[in-house]
Amino acid sequence: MCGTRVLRSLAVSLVAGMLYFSYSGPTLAQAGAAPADQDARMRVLQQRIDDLNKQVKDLQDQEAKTSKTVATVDKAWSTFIKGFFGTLDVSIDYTTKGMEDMVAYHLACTGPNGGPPCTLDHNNPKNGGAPPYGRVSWMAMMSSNGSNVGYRGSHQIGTSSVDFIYQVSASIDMAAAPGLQNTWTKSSNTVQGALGLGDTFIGLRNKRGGQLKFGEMYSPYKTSTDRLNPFAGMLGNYSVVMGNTGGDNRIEFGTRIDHIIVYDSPTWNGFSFDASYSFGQNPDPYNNITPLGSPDCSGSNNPGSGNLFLNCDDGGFNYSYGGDLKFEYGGLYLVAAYELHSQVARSSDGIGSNNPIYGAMDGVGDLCGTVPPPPPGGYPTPDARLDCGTFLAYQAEFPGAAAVSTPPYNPAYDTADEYAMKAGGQYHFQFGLTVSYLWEEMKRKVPDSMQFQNERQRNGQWAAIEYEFSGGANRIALGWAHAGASVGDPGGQHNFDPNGVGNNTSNMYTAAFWHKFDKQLTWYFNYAVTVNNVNAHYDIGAGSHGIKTDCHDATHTPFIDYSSAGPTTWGGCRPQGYSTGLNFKF
Amino acid sequence: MAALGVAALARPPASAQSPAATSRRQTSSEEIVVSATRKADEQVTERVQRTLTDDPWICAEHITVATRNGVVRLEGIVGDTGELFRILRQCRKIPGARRVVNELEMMHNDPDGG
Repeated sequence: MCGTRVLRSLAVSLVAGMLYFSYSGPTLAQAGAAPADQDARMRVLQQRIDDLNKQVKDLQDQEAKTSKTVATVDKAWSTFIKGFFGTLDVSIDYTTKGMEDMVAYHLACTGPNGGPPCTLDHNNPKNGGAPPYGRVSWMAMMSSNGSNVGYRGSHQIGTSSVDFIYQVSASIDMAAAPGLQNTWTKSSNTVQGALGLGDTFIGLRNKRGGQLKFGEMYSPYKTSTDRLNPFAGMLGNYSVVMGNTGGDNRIEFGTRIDHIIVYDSPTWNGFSFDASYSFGQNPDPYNNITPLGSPDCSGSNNPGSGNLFLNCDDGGFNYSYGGDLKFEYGGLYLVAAYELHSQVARSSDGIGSNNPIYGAMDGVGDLCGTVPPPPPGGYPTPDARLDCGTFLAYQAEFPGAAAVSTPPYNPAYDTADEYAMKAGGQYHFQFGLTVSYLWEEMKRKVPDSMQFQNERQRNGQWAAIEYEFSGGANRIALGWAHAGASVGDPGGQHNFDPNGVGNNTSNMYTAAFWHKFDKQLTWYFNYAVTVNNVNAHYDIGAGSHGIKTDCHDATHTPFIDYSSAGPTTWGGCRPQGYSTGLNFKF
Repeated sequence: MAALGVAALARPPASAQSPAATSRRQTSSEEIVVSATRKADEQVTERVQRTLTDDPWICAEHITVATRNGVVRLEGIVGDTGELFRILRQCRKIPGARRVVNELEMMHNDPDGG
């Protein structure tokens, strides 16, 4: 603005000067001045005009430069602002765990060492027939669902065709103050709102070569099928079953992975692929401690989950790798993906187990030979599948707690590779209908002698239809997820039924409606129910919804039955709920 | 298609031309084809951008569009599955867009992963 004003003033002066001299010229001529003198004066005037023209031109050039700078700054500012992205999502939920009438029974076993075969002793209920403790029926709640803020951008490296890319992201809770989120229903003790609780990486990108990212982020195994799941962030998210090996709230094949390298290929004739590798960084051969540089156990669990203090024996793994292959042509999308977690520690599956096979390993409850008096002939030799060394060390340090606890499995037996693979397809019709199907197989490679407690090996299915109507303002979707029976069961459920092993299937049904107010603000309504069979304990909301409604009651005494700790799990529960909320994206 | 049309009109008869003149004219016609293709690509890109910006239900803030030989490449992040499908559907309708390559990422609404 300032430059423009000066320019205008000079232009006015120039015009005024020219008018003055053009008027005075004839007057002088009429006065009869000498031609030579007149010529000299004309040259002086011409010189002045030239000088003024030069000044005007200089100022014009200067103004042009300023305008260019302003335009460049505007563009840079616009690019900078566009780098911010995020989601703000809060819902009101009304859910039930669907287990208020359940009763647990002791087992009547007639096998060696109190082992199978067993029946439920209906004349001998646990805790006098007490139902699940606490408010396990309908409850209203407010939930923040996947709210996050992030920044992403790219930077051309010199004049090359390679860009440096980056993204930082933070998870924020819209309904509770930041703090530790070490709760029984959300297995993470990281601080809410911390930077890094979202895909965070740096990397390199080339149009023809694809992009290579380094950081912590979702692996291709998850991202490749995100588009098959319209219910992200909702109670009926497909992660209730898909990628969720053990039920409950933690999605091990579909979690963010620390220190991971991800390569995303370009698309060639509709084909593309992604690959990932995560450094294990775990000095413990059984991965029972947190990886170097990570506050949590790998597998998105907090140290201590699984009942052993500060251990990662409920899913900690070493390195991980995986990838996907995708094909897209018109409305057709086909995908296959694979991911391996190496040497996954599960030794805590033994602690608190109500599985009679586990009970028989430990003799008749002699707790690695610590319960007096010794039987005639002395204590039996502990089963090699039990980690009596750790248990005895624990017993010496904390005799009171050990007296009501049980030994974990020997990590040499219960540390094994786990992998998952899935294949699916989707078709989007031009009139707004989308149909999706996904099949998944998950495996845990433990010795045959440990298969009886292998709840990590099963198949799963997901089907969804989604339809956009009212010109795009409204959307509706239906979904169904099915968990196949696992080959075994650790027996952590308070009401574990040994005759229900192989019958722990589950079905989750969900429906949702979305109404868009504009490009960014959406109102939604979601209903979901999970129908668990016998020992199954899948929840609603796993993997994305802020508050999970699961099959744990509110028990807050450390030990409740054989040796179960904390909120007790009830197999066969039927969680269901309604959720309505607002979602704003920017 | 516009580029092909220009190429056909611009190409002179092969006979009755000296080699040097033929070479010069071929170079010239190739330049016309390239520039016409580029112009057509730019037009498609503009149409795609306008379509996404004008659509009342699409947030196109984080989407970049590039067109090469009529192949439209979409990059960036989108909010949900509904928005993704709508973007792809709208872009496929645009005249001149021979194919739409989807390299969009879903904005994650599930940050805890479990």
